[in-house]
Amino acid sequence: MKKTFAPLYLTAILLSLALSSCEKVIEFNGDETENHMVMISKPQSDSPWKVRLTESRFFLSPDTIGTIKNAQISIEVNGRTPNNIITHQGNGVYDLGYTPQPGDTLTLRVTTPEKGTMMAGCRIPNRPVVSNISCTYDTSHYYDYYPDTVEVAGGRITVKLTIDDPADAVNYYMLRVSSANLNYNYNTDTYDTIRTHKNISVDDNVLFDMDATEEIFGFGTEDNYGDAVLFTDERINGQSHTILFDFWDQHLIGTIYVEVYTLSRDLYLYEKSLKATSQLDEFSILFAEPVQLYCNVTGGIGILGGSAVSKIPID
Amino acid sequence: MKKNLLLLLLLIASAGAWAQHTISGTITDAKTGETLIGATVYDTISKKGAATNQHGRFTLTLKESKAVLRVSYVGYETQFHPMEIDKNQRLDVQLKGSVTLSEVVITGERVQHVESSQSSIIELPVEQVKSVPVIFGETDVIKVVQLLPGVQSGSEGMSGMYVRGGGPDENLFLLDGVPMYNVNHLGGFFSAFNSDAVKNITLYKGSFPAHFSSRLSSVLDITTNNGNDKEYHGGVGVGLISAKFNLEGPIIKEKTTFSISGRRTYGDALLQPIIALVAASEGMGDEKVNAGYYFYDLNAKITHKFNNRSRLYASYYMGDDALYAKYKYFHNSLEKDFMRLGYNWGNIVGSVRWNYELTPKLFMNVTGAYTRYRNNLALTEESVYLRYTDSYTMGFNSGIQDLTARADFDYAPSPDHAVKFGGQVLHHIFKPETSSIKVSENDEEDSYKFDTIIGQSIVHANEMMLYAEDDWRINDWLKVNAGLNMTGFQVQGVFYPSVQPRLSGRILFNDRLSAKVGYAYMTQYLHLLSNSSISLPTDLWVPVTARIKPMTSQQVAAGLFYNVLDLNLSVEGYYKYMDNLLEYKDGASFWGNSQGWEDKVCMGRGWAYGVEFLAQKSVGRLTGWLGYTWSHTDRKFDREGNILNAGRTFPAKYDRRHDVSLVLTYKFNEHIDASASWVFSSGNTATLPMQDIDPSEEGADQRYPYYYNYEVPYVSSRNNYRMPNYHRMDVSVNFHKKLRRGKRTINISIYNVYNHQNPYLVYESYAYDFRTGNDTRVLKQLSIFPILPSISYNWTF
Repeated sequence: MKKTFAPLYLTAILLSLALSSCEKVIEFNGDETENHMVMISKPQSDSPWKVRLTESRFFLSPDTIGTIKNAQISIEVNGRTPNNIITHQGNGVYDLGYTPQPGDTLTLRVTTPEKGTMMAGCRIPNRPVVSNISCTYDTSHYYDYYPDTVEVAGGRITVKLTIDDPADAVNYYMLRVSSANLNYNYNTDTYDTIRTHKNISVDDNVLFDMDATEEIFGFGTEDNYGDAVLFTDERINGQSHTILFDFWDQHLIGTIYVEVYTLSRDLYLYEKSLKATSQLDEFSILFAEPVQLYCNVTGGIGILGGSAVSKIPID
Repeated sequence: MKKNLLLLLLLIASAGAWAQHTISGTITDAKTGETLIGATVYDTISKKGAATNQHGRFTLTLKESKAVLRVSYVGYETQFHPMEIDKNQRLDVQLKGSVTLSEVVITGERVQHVESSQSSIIELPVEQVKSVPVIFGETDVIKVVQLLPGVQSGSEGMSGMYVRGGGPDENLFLLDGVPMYNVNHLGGFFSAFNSDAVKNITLYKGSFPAHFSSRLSSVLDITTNNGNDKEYHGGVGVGLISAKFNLEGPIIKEKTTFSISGRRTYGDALLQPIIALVAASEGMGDEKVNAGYYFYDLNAKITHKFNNRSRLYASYYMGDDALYAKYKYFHNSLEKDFMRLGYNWGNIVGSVRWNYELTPKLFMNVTGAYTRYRNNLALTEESVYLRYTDSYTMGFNSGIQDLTARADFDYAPSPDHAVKFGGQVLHHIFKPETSSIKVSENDEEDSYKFDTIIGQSIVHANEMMLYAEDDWRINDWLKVNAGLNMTGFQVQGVFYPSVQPRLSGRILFNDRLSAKVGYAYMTQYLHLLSNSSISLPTDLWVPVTARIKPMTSQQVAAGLFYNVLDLNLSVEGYYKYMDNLLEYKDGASFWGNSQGWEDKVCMGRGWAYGVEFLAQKSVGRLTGWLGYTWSHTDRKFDREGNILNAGRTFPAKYDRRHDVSLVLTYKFNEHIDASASWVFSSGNTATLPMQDIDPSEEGADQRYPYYYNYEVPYVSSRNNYRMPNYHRMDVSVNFHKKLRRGKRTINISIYNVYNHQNPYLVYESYAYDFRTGNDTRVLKQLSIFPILPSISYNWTF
C-alpha cells in the first residue's frame, strides 16, 4: 500500500515537466574534486581492533575507490601508546594489534605522505544488560527456499527481549540477528556458508512512532526495520524494557544469534545516517533532503566509533 | 496623584488643539469613481500633507486659517484647492487621469517615496504590472513582484517568494485585507491573483507598520477594484492557455457598484482530441480515456456608499485547480473496468468591510472575513464481472479555515500625528489530512470488505492581535513611525504571547532627498509543510505546537531615498536575524502527511543581510525600473536534538549573491506600446554528494560481491553546490485599436527570447561515451522553459 499516491503525483509532475523540459550535460563548477582519506573503524569490546583506510572518489570520476596501503598509523588507549604491532591485512584493512575493553578511550591517527594526517577518538561503551530473552517459532508461514538443490525449512521467529537500561547516561543501542546463510561463490561456482545479518522488524510503540498513515503517504525511513535497528534510551531511560521483534528464518543454517550492541554516540549517528542513505530511493532523492553521512574524523572522512555487544544464541 | 496624571494627559491630548481644523475626504478617479490609495494631499502653505489610506480617505489637520491643497496621484492630473479654514471641512476630490503624462503630472507616489517615514515599501502601479511580459501571456502579479529588489523567485517559473532571506511561507498575502493561504495555480507556475481584478499592490519587505503581523518576511497587500460608479465597463480576453472576462458598473449610480472578473484555463478541452488520437493510435479502441487539468478564479465585489461618511464593501474570491482522469474499458457485456480520479484544491476568501467616519478626525474600518484552503483527492477503481464488483476507493482531504473579526481606526489628533490602532481576533481551524480507504471484493466463493479512515483530529487555534502606531512629524525634517503590535496564539492548551515593537524614522534633507531607518520584530505562528522546491497542493499549513515554537525575526533596515528628474532612486541595506526557523532533517520529506511532522524537522537560526538598489520611473513614455540586490543568507542548526550539517553554518537554499532586474515599458503612441524585462541572478544552492566512499569495514569480497561491494554518496555540507547563473529576457508588444465600440488589444509576448537554458534541477546521471563505449558519470541540468512565444486578444469597453 505504501507510496500508492506518491507515484500518481510524481507521474503528473514529471509528465508536465517532461513536456517542456530540456536536459543537458553541464560542466562541474564546484571545488570539491579532491579525494579525501576515509577511515572506517568500529572497535568492539573483546574483538581485535581494525581499521579500513580508503580514499573517497570524486563523484564524476570513472576511477574505482582506492585503498591506502602506505599509511603510518598510531594509536592511543586511555592516553597511552600500547605495545602493539600494526599489520596491513590487504584491501586497506589494518589490524591495530589491540583488543579493546569496555571503558577504553581510543585515539587513532593516520598519516600518508600524499594526504597528510587524519585522526579520531572514541570510547568503548559498557556491554548491554540483557535480562531475559524468549522466542516463538511459527511455521505456518512456510516460505519458499533456495537454492534448488538444498531444502531449508523456514518460518517466522518472534523474539521477546528484555534489556535493563542503566540510568546514568544516554545509551545508544543497535539490535541485529545473525545466522549462517548459503551464498553463491563467484569464484568456485558453489554455495558457501557465511554469516550474514537478517532483516528484522521491531514492533514497539515506545521506542518508535508506529505511524499507520506513513505507510500510505510519504517516503521517510523505516527506523524499526532492517538488518540493524537503532534506538536510544530516550524513552526508556533507567528502565527494564521488553522489545518484541521478528524475522524470517528463511535459508538459515545453524545457530541464530541475537546481537544487542551498545554504541558510542558517534557510531550511533554514523550508523543511523548510513541507514538513511541506503533507504533513499530514486524518487525520494528528488524530493527529500539529501542525507549527510555522519563523520567524526578530523582531516578526513569516516568514523571511529566503539561498541560492546551481547550475543545470545537462540535455538 | 491620579487626578494630576489625568489632567496632564488631557492637557497633552488637547495641546495644540486650539484653532486647529480638520480637512477630511476621499480621493477618487473622476471617470470611474474608484477610490485612490496612496494619493497625497499636501498644503503648500504649511508644508504639511497626508496620504490616502486603503479606502482612499485622508485626514489633514491644520493650524493655519488658509491652505492651498495640492492633490496628486501617479498618472493623474494634479489639482490645487485653495481653502479658507475656519471650521472642520470635507473635501472630496475627483482626479482626472492624464493622457499626456506630462510634467504637470506630479505623482503622489514620488512625494511619498521621499516624504514617508516608512522604508522597505514598494508600490506597484497595476498598469505597469499588466505591461510586464510574462509566460504564456498570463499577467501575473507575483511574477512581477519577484522582479523587485529584495524579492527572489524560487525555481524557474514558480510563484514562490523569498524576501530578504526568508522562506516561502513567511509572506503574508492579503486580498482586500484578508489572508490567503495558497496563492498558486498549476503547482506555482501561475499565481491566483487575476490582474484584471486588482487595483493596488503594495509590498512591505521590512520596517513593517504595527498594523501588520503574523509573518516574518513580507506583506503583499492587494486591493481589488470597487467597480465603476458611473457607467458599465468590461472586457474579455483570450490567451494561449486561458480566457478571462471582467465587468463592472453601477447598480445604483454613484452609490452601489459591482465588479466581477474571472478566468479559466481551457487546456483540458484542447487536450481531449489529442487523448483520443493517442488512444486510437495505441489500439485502445474499446477503452475510453478522459483526462485533463484546469484552473479558474473568480473575483466579485459589491460596494455601497451610504453617504460620504459610510461605505460598505463585500468581496469574494474563489479559485480552484482541478485534475481529473476517467478510464472505462468494456471487455465484453459481462466484464467492465472503471477508474476515476478527481483532485481539486483551492481557496475561498470572503469579506465584508464597513468604513465609517466617526468624526472628521476618527475613521473606523470593521472587517469580518472568512478564508478557506482545501485540498481533496478521490481515486476509485471498479471491476465488474457478472454480478460481482470489486471496488477500491481512496480519499485524501486537508485544509485550513480562518474566521476573522477586525477593527481598525485612523485618528488624526493634531497636524503632526497620524495614529492607527485596532485589534483582530482570528480563529484558525486546521484540518490536517484525512485519508480514507474503502475496499470491497466479491466473487463467487468469498467476499472481503475494508473501510477505514486514518487521520488527525481537527485542530482549533485562536490568534489575537492589538496594535497602535503613531506617524509623528516631530519637525520639518524628522518624522517617526513608532508602534507596538501585541499578539497571542493559543493552541492545544499552549499560549504563546508576543510583544513586537516597530520603529521607523525619516530625516528629510530637502524635498528630494531623505534618509530612513527602520526596525521590526515579527512573530509567526504557522508553518507550511511543503516539499523541497515545488509548490504542491499537498503543502499543508500547521500551527506551532508545544515542541515547535513560533518563528521570530528582527530586522533593521536603513536607506537613502532620492527623487531626480522622473526617477525615484533608493538604496537600502538590511540585516535580519531569524529564530526558530524550520528545516527538514536529512532524508526527510513532506508528502501530504503531517503525522509526526515535528520529528521530521529541526529548529534553528538564520540571518540575512544585503543591499538593494532601485531606480523606478513611473511617469512618461518610458517607465519601468532597474533593481539590483546583493544579499547573503545563512542558516545554523546547532541545538541539541536539532543539529543539521554537523552544527555548522550553511547557506540557505535560495541564497543568491546577485540579483538584477530591468523592466522597461515604452509607449510609442496610442496604438503601440512595448515592454521588455531582463533578469539575472546567481545560481541557487543545492546539495550534491560530491564524493563517494566505501563504508565497509572489510572491503569488497570478490567471492560475494552482491553482499559486500557497495559505495555510498558523501555530502560534505548542506547546500554545498551552486547552480549555474540564471538569466532570461522577455519581450512583449501591445497593439491597441479603437473600435466602434470599445478597444481591442493584441498582445504578442516572447518568454526567454534568447532561449537560455536555465537550471531548474541539477543532478548526477550517466551519458554514453563514444570514445570508450561505456557510460560515464556526468552532471546534468534540467531546464523547463525554452523560448515560448504567446499571443492574446483582449477587448475592453
